[in-house]
Amino acid sequence: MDGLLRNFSKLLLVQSPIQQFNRTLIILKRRHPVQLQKKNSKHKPVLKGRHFIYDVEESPERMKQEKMNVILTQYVEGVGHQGELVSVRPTYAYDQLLLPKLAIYASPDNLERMKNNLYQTKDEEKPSSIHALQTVKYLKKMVVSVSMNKDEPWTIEPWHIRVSLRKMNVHVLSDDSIELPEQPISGPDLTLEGKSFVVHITINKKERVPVECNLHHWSTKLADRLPQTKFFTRTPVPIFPEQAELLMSMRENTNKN
Amino acid sequence: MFNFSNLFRSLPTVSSILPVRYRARKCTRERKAKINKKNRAANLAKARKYIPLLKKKQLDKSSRTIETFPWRTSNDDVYLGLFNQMRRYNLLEAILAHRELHHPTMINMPNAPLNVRLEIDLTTDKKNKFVDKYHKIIELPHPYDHGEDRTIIAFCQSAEMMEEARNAGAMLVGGKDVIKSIESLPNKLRRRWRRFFVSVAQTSRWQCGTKVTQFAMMRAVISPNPAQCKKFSRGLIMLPDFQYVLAHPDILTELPAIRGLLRKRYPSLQHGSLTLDLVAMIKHYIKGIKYNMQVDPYDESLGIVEMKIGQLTDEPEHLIENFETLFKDIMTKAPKRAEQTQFIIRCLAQTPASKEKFNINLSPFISTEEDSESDSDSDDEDEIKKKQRI
Repeated sequence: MDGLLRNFSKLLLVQSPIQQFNRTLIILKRRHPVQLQKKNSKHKPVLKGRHFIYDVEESPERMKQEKMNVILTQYVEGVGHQGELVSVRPTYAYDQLLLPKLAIYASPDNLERMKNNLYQTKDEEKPSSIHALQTVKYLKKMVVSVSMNKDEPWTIEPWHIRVSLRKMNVHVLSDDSIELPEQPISGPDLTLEGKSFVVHITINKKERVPVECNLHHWSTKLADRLPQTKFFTRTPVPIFPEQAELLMSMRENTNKN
Repeated sequence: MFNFSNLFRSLPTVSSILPVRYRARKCTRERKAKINKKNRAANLAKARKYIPLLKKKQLDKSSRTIETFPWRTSNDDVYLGLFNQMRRYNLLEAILAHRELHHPTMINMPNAPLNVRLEIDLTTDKKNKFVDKYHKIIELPHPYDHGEDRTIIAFCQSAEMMEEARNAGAMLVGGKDVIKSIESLPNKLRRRWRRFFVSVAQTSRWQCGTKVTQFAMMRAVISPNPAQCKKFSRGLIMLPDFQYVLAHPDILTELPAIRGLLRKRYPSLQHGSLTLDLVAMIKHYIKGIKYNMQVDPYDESLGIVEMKIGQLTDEPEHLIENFETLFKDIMTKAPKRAEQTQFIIRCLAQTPASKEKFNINLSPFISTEEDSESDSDSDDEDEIKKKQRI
């Protein structure tokens, strides 16, 4: 009773166990081992300050979480199509998929429903691949700088666009997926400098994206080069008047996002 | 009247507050010095333990190319390189891709040099041991003109051999006399000569208004004529001015006298600088192409070879053959490891004009190497290989 009274103030400070978020097993190990005792000795083991230093052997917080299965109810960029069973990290699944109702748990009932094609969509409505819509989004925002020579004559061909896209780390595997404007663009023509035109790119022969290209004249000699400009923030000046509306609408969309 | 000076006097002075520390007695000083000396080794060891932390910070500075998403691949027709692993090109594809950018309609540099950057894993089975840096001259199947001035000194005994070597392009050819002149020269005198030449070079530069380096002066004075050589040999032959030292075996008995001066450049069979066919060796050293394996200053386990293979206008097959010889030559330096990992991790093909770096698929080159190894099962070839290693 005496001891209880003495430590009463300490008891008030103790937190109730309910406030803990998760009660889990943590395995500790003494860093400095305690000296061995004699057999049947009445003395308590000698514990010094160093004996209360512990190393964590095993703790659930540090362990890598196993992936969990969920069924998608919608198409998610970079993850999967509708009605697909995917395995993702639990934190990602809770925050990004289950809470916004993009996916449901892969419980036995739900799995049976999945087999009955309840969540499936027709192939025609599906996007061509998991990453396709992501690339579409990215390409719409992009302004590609097409730098052509200042001295040699040229007309723009699909491979010119492919090379300038490759310089910006976008890989186009075949020239057939690039669609140029109907009238040819040829130069060197300094009246076209810094003006824009629109090129259409089809991903997997399905998604057709308009991409803004900016023409720039580049010279091999250092002295003849034109100064660098921030063409990607400027309001675009179209080469062809037909494309003016399309260009402006594309820019407005990017500004909104 | 209130007197301020009295007040000040009443306040305790600084010296009275602070305890005066007298110098410790002699015996205690000695005792403490002894303890300090004893602990020095331990302290040093402690300081050494901090190095790994530093190295961790330095790892960010290393020039190793790191992919952000090495596990992600895309099957799409059009895809973003930003969210995927680096695209792998065959060397032929990479050459063609570089040609597209350097086309007259775009950059207009059709004959730009094609450089190759190889990243090498230098780790061995031992934790603190790494493969050393080195440089080597190799013979490419389709050579190009390197713009280097290489200075060679060749040692041989017979007069015929001397003439042949001189015709082949060695800067200085010498026999016993030259070795003796190098050997007999005391260090002081050599230094004095060097100082003299530096001063001459400076004055001449000042007078003529042209840059005359010390090296050029040396070249002007040392003529291939043996008579003159004898005349000037004392003090004029300075070994640091020669990049390569070659020798014929018939002069091997006299060579050890200058071993200390030559150090690493001392001719040996292992380097190939001690040969029976001196003329061919001189030609190889003049015309061959040099590559340098450097260790990254911030990363001990990363070796870098940067070398020009050829020009973009060359035939792609020739460029590929050149690359293959370089690849095989580097692979001879690969250490034997318990775990079989790649010695050459990555290869990037690039040109000085563009920022584009193409990651090259090395598997075709590696597979051919393995085939050749599996073919050579006979004992004779193994013995030859052992000899080469020794």
